[in-house]
Amino acid sequence: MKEDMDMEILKILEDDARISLMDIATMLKTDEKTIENRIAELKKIGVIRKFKTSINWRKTGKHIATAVIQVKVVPQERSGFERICKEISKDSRVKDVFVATGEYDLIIRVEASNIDDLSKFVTEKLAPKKEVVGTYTHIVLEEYKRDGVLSFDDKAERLRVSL
Amino acid sequence: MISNRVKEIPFSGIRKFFELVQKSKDIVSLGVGEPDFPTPEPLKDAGVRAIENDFTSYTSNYGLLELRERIAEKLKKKNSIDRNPETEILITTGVSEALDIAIRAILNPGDEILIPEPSYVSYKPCVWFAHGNPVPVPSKEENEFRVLTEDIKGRITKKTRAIILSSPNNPTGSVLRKKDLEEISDIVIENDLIVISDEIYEELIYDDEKHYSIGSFNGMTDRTITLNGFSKAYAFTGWRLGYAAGNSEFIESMMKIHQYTMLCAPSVSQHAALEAFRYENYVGDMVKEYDRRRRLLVKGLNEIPDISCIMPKGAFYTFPNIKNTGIKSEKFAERLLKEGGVAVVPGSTFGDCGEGYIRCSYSVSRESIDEALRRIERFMEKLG
Repeated sequence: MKEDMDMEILKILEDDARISLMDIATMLKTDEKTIENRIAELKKIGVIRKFKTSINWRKTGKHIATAVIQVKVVPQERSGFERICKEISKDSRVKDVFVATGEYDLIIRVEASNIDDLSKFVTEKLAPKKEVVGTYTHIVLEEYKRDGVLSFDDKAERLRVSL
Repeated sequence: MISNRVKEIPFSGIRKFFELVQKSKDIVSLGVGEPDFPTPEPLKDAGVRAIENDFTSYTSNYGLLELRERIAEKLKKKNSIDRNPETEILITTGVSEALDIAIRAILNPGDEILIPEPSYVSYKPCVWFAHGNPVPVPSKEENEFRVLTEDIKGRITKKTRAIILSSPNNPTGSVLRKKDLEEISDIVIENDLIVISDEIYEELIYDDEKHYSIGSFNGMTDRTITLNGFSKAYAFTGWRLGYAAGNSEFIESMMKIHQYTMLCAPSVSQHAALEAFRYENYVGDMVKEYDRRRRLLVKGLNEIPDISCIMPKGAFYTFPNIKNTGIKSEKFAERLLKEGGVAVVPGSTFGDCGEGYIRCSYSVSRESIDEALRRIERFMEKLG
């Protein structure tokens, strides 16, 4: 039962991190205190990592150089890809790090402030690492959807009133 | 130039209000009467595939046999209704068409049809178009808007031919219980009536309520035309697809009208709807979300002075009481739109007994519900 409620809470928060405890409690037929405790617990055990906001930076006029980079890595004895993945993850420009199947071992997404910064990241930081044997950089040209959120205004509209 | 019958039917008063809503800027609408989810991906894909594979010609007048077979299985499993897919199920262009031809198939001029109100707005005009007389049966808030059998009994005359039931109900969200339907069945049998049962909101039901199909009750098999469709459960409104199930006499008679006026339901939509039967989980997730919004909206409404709202058990509507304001529901809705920036539907649209109420839909995002509640509260404060 507790697990059911946790799942419900997570689904609600995944969609809207700013929702009030009161609203969650109303929706799940319980009280604020219970919700507060469950969320605290979910944070403590590391299920909830962070509450974030989905932003379309382009609309602010701020330019970001985004790239998806495939990385080929020599796995290390005993630690596999773990050490290199954690090391890459620590760079604040790196937004996603995945170990994946296929010709390359890692897929990472990087957001740099401009193309020079991106170039520096790849040529001076990523490529020279001793485990990295190859990189394949895809510079992002357009963005349509990110983290499940559309980056454009949806034109499909319902009637405002209907019977 | 226009027939007397059509001239006699008043223009829906609500149309002007609707135009005003469409034109208004910066409003939050609780006036919607359709799901705010997109059609599920598998159904969309099936529609696209149907077009690409040229499944774009007429189907049988009855509709695709495969679809009727799926519907027959569903009716048996979910509704305990046994219907032969060859002769007892008709695929229609939405429940709207099914309703129209069901009424036309059973009505002689001057016949009366009982309509529990508040009710969906199409029932009355469809009866008028068929040269019949609709007889409203008011239901009350204190009975959770479930129609009482004594109120039905009191309105039966020699001319009464049928009763239209709709549960879960638009606009009140009320759900008829098993006992209600058993009592209604008794009256129907005793007075040799027909039931047209509009079950389009069947899947949208909350708490411990259950949906019962009156067509499955003792003695009702040959007295019930069950109407349902895909619009509400599968966010399928614009595809226009519904169905009617009844004994072959009813269905073949409805078919006579359907084959000459509609020919067949949209074939692309029929192919897409076949997918619906494989994605029943989708409905469950949607119902859960509606349920959460229902709680938010009802609680919020009840916290506003001079508004009270019972907890609806089905569909996606609340029907709050605004009688304390002393303002007629039409005027209230108009002022709430102009002064408060929120669109709702006046309760009187759904029958005289809807006066003093407004319909607020929770088929809108949680953000819209929150914002609408804030605005309604501010509006009510200004009203004093």
